[in-house]
Amino acid sequence: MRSTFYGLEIAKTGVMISRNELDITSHNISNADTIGYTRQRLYTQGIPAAKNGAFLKPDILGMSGKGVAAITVEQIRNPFLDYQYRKENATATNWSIKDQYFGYVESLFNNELDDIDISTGMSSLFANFYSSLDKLSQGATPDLEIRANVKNSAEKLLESMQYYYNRLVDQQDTLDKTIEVTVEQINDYAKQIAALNEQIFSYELSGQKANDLRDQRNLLMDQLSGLADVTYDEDANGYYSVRLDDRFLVRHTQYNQLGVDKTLDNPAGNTLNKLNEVYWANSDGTLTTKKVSINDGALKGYMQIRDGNSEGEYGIPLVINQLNDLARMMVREMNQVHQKGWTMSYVDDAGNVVPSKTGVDFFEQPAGADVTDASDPAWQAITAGNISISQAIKDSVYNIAASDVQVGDPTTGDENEKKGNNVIALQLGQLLSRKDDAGNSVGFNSVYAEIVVGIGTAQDHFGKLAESQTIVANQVEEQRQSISGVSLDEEMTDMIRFSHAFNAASRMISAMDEQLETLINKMGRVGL
Amino acid sequence: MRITNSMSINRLVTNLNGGLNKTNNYYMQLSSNRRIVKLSDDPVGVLSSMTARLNIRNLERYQESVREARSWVDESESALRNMQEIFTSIFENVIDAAGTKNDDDKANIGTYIEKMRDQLQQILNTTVGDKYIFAGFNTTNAPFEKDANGKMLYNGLDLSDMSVDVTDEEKQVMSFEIGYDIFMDVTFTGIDIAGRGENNMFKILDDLVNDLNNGISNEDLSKNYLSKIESLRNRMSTLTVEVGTRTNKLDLMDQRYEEDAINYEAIRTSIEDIDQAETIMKMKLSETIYKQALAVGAKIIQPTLMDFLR
Repeated sequence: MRSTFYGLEIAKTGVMISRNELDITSHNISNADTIGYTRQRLYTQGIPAAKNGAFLKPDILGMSGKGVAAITVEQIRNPFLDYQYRKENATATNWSIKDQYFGYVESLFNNELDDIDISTGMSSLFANFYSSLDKLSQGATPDLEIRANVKNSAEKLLESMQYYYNRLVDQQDTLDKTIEVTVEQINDYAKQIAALNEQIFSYELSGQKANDLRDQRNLLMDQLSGLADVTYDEDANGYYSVRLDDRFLVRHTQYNQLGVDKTLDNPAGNTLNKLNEVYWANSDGTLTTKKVSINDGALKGYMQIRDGNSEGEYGIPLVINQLNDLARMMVREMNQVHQKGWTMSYVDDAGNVVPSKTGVDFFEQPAGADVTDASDPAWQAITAGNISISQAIKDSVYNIAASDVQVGDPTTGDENEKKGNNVIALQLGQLLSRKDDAGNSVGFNSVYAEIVVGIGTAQDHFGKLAESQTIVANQVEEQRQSISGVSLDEEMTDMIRFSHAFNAASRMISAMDEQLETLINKMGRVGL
Repeated sequence: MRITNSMSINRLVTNLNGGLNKTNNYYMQLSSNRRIVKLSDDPVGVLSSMTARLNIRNLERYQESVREARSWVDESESALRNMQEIFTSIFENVIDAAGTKNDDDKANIGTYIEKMRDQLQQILNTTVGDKYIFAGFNTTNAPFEKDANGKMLYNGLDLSDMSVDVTDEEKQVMSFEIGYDIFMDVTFTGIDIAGRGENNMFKILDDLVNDLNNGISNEDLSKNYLSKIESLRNRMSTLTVEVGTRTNKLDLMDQRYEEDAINYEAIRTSIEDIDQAETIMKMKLSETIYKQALAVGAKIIQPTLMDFLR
């Protein structure tokens, strides 16, 4: 038996649900531009006609349902796209960071491409040095200017090498500090996520979904995924955890921290500062001895540029080491030839005659280093940062040995006998653009050009991958937006739909009212 | 696919940014007239460009060496020609002397030859700029000087006593690098020209002058000196021919370098510089695309369903 006011009750649920839906539409529209916002929908269900155990048993066939009930407010979100986005985002950020930070290295060497007449690149300095040696060989005279020119152009070359070396070391240092900051950022995210976990968990105990808090957590996870290769999962109990390197960074409401300690040997040279290594820390920040291995994301990107020391992992240390190798090669090969030569004899400041000598170094070389053996470990002491002209040549440019025969003493009158020749000067010059038996250039200049081209190729690679990976990440993000984003058109359509539903449900109440009017006021009035 | 507002705006921003990047790139190329501004713009091109620059710079050095060598060789050539003429004149004078009976005439001719000898010494002390060219590596001091006893010294050594064969090293032939691994002797040493030991140029002339002053007989004069003078003159002409071949070689090198310079410069510009017409076209195209994106942006941002609802 249908109760009298049954229809009124059905219509009431319709009115209320329509209002509810309008509210949610309004919430969506308000958040149309909120970053990380996921559109929400009210899930509703028709209430079936009462069954066994219900307060109204349907005893008549054809009894209608009891109207509509709200189930829950759901987010429209695809968790698989979240997973995919975070994975791609880590890789995209990694390449973008490498592109950005290696770009600095590239910019140091871009002066090679300046107009050939004004280029301040090392190629032009090599050329100047070469031509100063040419002048020396053509003059082969005691002309002070010619010799001073050789020394000055060599010094300019070394200054430029030292400049590159120092800038590269500075940049490595900047990256090291950036790693420290990034680790702090990760720690901060871990804390925030743990705090949100607690809020979400307690909110959802009621059975309601903590949609807006979840949006916040998802946004934090998106940002965290750009920093390191984190994984995450939410178990059936609603416990949310974030892992890094297979250990918990966040476990429900608990979190761990990361910390840095300068314990990593600098791959660019043992004499340089040690670098930050990332360790696990307890939640109070005390370091443990367990290292964190990071494989992707911005943090890995900083590390790769800071530590990269092979063709496969192109980084600052590789460039520094290549410059060091060039410096060692210059010192060794120049000295090997120069030591065979004889210097000019001259009168020093104190008025003493310094006779012609042989075995003088052109560049300062480490004690005991063997000029004929490139693998002698003593050479390792030379870097592009400390390479310098030998003390002898700093004392007097007459100590530049251009001749391979002994040169006469200016005071004893035999000056005309032997002035020395230009054999060594010519040989020194040839070192700069030497070719091997196969005709390949192996001179200093070519070695340097290879370094520069290597940097360009690496940067090109970084740039291209950063671009393509960003496109991939953006594509996934677009898919995510396509599902979760607010479409104003759609919301407006919904608004009209729900308004109409509201109006119709209200009209139903009027209709019911009319029936009741008939039933109560117009019935049983026979004879009145 | 469901298109949401943030999606279309994001995509618009991405496209605008991309378009602006491209346009900016062309602006940069056009304003600098260079195709490669950063190493990563074209790493392979950078390699070719650096190789071309290396070649150009080397070429400039070699060209300079050739020019420098040329001035030495030219100076040597004119010196040798002068000496050749002097010996011709000496030869004629000796023949004249051998035809006279008069001792005074011989003494006169002796005085004339003495002057000629001094002139030869002067020529052998020729300089290019401030460098003595026939002095080997000793380019700062006059190589031929007479000592107090009237002996001719070469770089401080008695020319007549230098009987031992000197090594190349001590002969000190000045050589320039005029190309990759190409060395050229740019002049001769004093020894090459004057000879050394008993038969050196100055000893012969000194003896001749002495004999003329002492009234040497006509027969002895022709017997002892004519062939010697003749051979000295021949040595000068041999050396002059030798210098001539060097001049030719330098001319050839110079010509080749000039052609090479043009070629390398062409390679360099073709790698480094933009093709203006092409880049301007591309810039115009990217500008158009950018404007188009802006116009589309104005369209997609504006209308929503709201605009059509009462």
